[in-house]
Amino acid sequence: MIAPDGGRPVHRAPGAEQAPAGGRRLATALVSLVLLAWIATVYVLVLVADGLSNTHTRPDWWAHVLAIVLVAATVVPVRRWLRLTVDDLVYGHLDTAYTVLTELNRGIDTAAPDPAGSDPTLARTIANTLNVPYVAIVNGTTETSVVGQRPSDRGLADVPLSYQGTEIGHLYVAPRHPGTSLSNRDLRLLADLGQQLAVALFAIRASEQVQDSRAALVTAREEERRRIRRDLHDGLGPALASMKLQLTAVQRLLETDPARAAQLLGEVRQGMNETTADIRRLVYGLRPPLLDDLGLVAALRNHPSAHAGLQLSVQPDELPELPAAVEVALYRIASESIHNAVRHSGGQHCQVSIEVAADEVCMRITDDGRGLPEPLVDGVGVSAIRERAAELGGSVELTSDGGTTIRTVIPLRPSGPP
Amino acid sequence: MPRSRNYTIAAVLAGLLSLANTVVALFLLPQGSDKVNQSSNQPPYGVILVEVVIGLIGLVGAYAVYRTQRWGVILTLVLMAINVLISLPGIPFGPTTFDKVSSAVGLVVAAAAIYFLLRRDTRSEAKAELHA
Repeated sequence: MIAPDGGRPVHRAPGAEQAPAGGRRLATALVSLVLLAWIATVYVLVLVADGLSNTHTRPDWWAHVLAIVLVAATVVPVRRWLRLTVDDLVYGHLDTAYTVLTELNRGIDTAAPDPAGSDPTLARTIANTLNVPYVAIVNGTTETSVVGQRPSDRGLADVPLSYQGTEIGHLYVAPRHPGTSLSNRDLRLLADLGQQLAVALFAIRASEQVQDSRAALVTAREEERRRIRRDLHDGLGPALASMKLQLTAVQRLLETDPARAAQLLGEVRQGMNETTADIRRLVYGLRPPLLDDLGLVAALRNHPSAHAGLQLSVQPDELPELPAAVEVALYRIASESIHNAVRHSGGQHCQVSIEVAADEVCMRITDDGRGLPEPLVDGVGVSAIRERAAELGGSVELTSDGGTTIRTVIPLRPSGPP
Repeated sequence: MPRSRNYTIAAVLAGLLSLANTVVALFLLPQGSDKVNQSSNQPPYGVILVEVVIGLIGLVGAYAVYRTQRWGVILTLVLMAINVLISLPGIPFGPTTFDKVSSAVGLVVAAAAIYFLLRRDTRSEAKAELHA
């Protein structure tokens, strides 16, 4: 800690470089020189005023006293003002904004890639180049890079970091001296630095999201495999083993007890029917076969929920070919929405309209029921709808105006090499 | 970085003062040191030499201030402070009224230049520069 201003301590960043000795000496010399000019000017002007008011060759004694009083009264505030402004001049980056940006870019390049960590490289770069005691970079709500001890909020500069209209975080910078504030020149430089930081933080966050997305995909794939394995092992396997035993018994009873054998064969056939249904359910879980057989529109029109007292209309009659994942997502979302309409809306009609644009597909499902409850709390079904849309980068919007409208937008990305 | 209005004003003031000092000193220089030192109406020859040097450097510094160069601001600050100190004796001890008035004017201009060099931009000025 050093006390450059009236003995008040300034917390220096641990690891942050102190101001260069040359800079300190220059600032002190400038302050001293200008202060000397001020003191001399005040003194001489008082004596000159005294000389103008009388004809004495020597100034009156009270003129000296008045000059000393005036100098004493003004020297402290003038010195403080000089200290602040000269520090801004010496330590600020009046003509070195490019250098600061270069330093920051170097810091971004060498900073630890883990944004959740507390790598102080970026904050230290800013603290050193601006010679400020405290810098904190907040990514979202996490302090990703901090140098120094946070002073009181008074005077703390808060630079919002935003990219493409989205707020990424904040850059907090303390003034050089307690009880003061950064100059507007510093704030302008910080705003420029903030733009660079926002891009870097956005890239870090996007990288994080990609990593999370990859992990989610792997987890989902493994969960799906486990479910299929469980279905095959616990359902299909025992059923086939049971049928094998029954057929063995039939073989043994065929000559001795044909009636019992016939009864067992009937049970085997019943078991085969159930197994076939299980396999169908398993396959349906992977991808609804109706989509392949009939297409999305006809599959929705033939959805079982559509025949449970709700008049369902699906538009348009034909759709261009959609990516398989989008088609399945739309089908699942529509199924869940129609199911909810049947169970909860109390309406008579439900309309599904699908619009395919060049870069996105929009599906709107509207019923004429009682609408959504207030306040709306997402249940399992609505959460599943949102998750399915989010998996493909889409969004879901629920509105209630007489009935309920669920608007789903899913982007259509051109498939290319990974 | 956009140029501050304060620096523009300071550059103009420092430039004018340096130019005036240089021109006046250059008119006096050809008289020679003996004649100047013997005259009771003129400053010492050494002071005139210093004024020429300070004036020329001040012109360079003023241009650097106009270009928003930090070294120019520091240089001009030093020169204007020296100008204040040089002008001060001329106010009470100037041999003629013209000398006293010109010293006072030089003092005021140098002090104003220092003020504008060190003055922080107001928020409205900073915004105006950003939108310029």
